[in-house]
Amino acid sequence: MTVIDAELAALDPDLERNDLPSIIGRRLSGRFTIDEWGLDRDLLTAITPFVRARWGLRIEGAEVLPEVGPALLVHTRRIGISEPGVLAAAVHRSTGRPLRATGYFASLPGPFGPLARRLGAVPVGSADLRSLLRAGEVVALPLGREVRQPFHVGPVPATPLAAALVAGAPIIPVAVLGVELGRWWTVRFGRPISTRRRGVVDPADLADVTRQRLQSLLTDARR
Amino acid sequence: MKVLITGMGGELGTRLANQLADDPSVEAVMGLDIDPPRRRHSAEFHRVDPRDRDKATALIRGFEPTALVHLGVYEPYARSTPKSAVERTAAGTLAAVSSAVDAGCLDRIIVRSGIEVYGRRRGAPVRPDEQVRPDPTTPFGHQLLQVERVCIEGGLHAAAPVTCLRFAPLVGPSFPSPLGRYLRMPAVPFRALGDPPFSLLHQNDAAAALVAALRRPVDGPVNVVGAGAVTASQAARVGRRIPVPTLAVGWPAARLFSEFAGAPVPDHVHELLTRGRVADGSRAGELLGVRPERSTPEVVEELYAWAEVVRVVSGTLDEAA
Repeated sequence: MTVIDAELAALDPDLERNDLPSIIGRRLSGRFTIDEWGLDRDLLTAITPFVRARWGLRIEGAEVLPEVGPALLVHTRRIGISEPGVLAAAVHRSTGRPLRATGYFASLPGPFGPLARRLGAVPVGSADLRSLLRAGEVVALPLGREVRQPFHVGPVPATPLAAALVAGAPIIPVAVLGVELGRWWTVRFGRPISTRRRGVVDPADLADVTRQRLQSLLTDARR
Repeated sequence: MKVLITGMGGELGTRLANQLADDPSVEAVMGLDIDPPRRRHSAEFHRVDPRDRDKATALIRGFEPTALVHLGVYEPYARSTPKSAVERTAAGTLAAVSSAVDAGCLDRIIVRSGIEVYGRRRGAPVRPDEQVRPDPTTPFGHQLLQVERVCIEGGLHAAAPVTCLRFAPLVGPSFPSPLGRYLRMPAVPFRALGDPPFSLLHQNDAAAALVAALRRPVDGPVNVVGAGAVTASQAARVGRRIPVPTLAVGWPAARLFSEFAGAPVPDHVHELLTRGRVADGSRAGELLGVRPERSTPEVVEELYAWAEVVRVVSGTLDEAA
């Protein structure tokens, strides 16, 4: 067993030991990492086995996810309870990066909101979205619920896409398919829409393109 | 450049005066404050109560500053009681800005503000950047915003750029701050359901930002925030204090306990402990050319690394040697 110097681990997070005794040791000494939005990486590592036991994932096209730098994942949802968790698990499994799921989870009452924030949930708001993308985070933006027509994509809001445009973050359409209490879920990542084009791009046009790509992802999935 | 430093008696003011002493572009430095400077310095210093407007005005007009560094922003329970902090800040800001503008040579104003100006109203951005409109929710936040407004108005009259440096809470071993004292108590109450993260700034980084802004003034606000964040319970564990989980109804008792323990908790510190306080400081590097070198966890480590009182039994020193 190699003993890794704590200072070396601070320089390169990949060298940080993530076995249970190390996590408990960091917890007791207070030297674990909590970021500005409240994400606790050790907690995320600790719950990963439980997430794997709960959901079986079929991930398609995850090679489009950037290893570093910002990305805005615009994803579909049916009821919307499992989708953020499923997508976060898919992103974490494919790239090892945490997902910042925007939505109501971060604002839940009692201990639930703060717990969701520890796992990567962030409140919805253009200022926070701007700040997250500037910091190079992978952010998930859920579309409206489609309970009765799961293969239909509703309108895509233009305002959050404008934030991606300013940050130069690619917009990645994602179809998240599964049944709320079921075990198996499919996560299909679509071709990224680059926002680093020259000239002024209208966010409303970007929203149209994103909607079309999401719709074709869902149509393909239905076949 | 003739630099007037208000609030020079504080840690930041003294540090800044010493850094400017070796700067060839600085012709003279004059400092004003109600407290004497915290260490040796070579600047001209006058002990003036900020509420004594006539004395401050006469000194400032005689000095004819070209740059005003306004650090005379008194945090409640840092060096003053909440009441006198408000009075000193309001009177001192008005006197310093109006007299410096009237002297007629002013070409830049640098203001010590804080990220408390953004407030933590429900639904407010978690990590606001400079584009977010200030919406303070505590008396200290309002106090800072008022200072910014007076300075911006002064800047308009003098046609000078006004750099509002919005610092994250400053704590340090030799820095008088209510948050620093709170975190160094033997037992540290924290919010049981949540324990939100907050960011801090090291005094050296704050001084470096002031020097950078003085050399390269930016017209507008700049957030200066140490990287990363910590929570109150995490800080307590780093400092080997006892973290005490506290629910909403327990906070009045926790504040009372802190006050008896010598660390009164003003509203903005209570807000930080229960709602968190971070800000997006990523533009500081681009705007000022410097970014904080120490991260928030490093600031916390240093806060607790401060030598405690060491009791030495006579005769043991020789044996140890």
